[in-house]
Amino acid sequence: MLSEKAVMEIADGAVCDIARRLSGVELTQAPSSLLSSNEGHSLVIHTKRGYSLTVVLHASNTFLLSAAGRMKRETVSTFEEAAVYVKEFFNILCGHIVSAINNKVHSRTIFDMPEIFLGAYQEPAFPPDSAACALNYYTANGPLSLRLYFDENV
Amino acid sequence: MGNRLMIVDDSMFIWEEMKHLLADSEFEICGYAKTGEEAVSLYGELMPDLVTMDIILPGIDGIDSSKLILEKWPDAKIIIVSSLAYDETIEDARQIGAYSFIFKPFDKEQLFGALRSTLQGSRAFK
Repeated sequence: MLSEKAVMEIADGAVCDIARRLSGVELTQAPSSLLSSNEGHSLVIHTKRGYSLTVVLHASNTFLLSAAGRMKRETVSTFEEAAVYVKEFFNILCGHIVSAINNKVHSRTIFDMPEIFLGAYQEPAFPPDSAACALNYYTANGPLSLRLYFDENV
Repeated sequence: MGNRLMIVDDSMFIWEEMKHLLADSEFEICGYAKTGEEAVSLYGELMPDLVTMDIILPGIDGIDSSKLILEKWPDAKIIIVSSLAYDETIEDARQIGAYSFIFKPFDKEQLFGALRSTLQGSRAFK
């Protein structure tokens, strides 16, 4: 079983690395979320076939459009156009997080396709024994936050 | 004619990225499948020299799709391309007979390295 600190370190390392490589920006940690609940979009992934983990990325549209534009190598001006790139960004990020956890807890957990929501994701009630961690960042292209909810098998 | 590559990935981004990286090279993209089921049927139609296969796909996953292709066409040269790169998945890829494993996100050097060595019949897994 991993501590919340260990999960946070894995998630922090993965999001900083993937943001740098795919969107070309450096992330700086912020003490709390810089986004209001009606700003930006959220991407959500749930794991299956193993431990229970939900990863939520809430990011400003500026960050998401800019990441999509860099991945597409041309300007992306609407979120509809950005969605395919943003989903892949999130898929890759979650792949890195889940792979690192799997290697530590010797699991074969995988995850479902990501879902996208307008604004902040309204989390359902997670079981009382589940843990959560939140990471908040600001970047040159706008803020983002990453939240992870996981059970005792992580 | 270049070496014919079939891409299996549900993300259009990967297809665009490979198209960009492989432009003016010895490789040509001959087909693109978004699901495992589509990959098995398209492989039979195209008989490509190489296949890049994602793991997380709608329907049957990339490992099972590769297994189905290799059962029918044991000479298929499949490279797994995924961000799900943990020990057991890499071992699964080796066991089903994939030639190599590329971690997403990848760069040009990593992509060409895997494509060229697989084409020559060299396996990254020992």
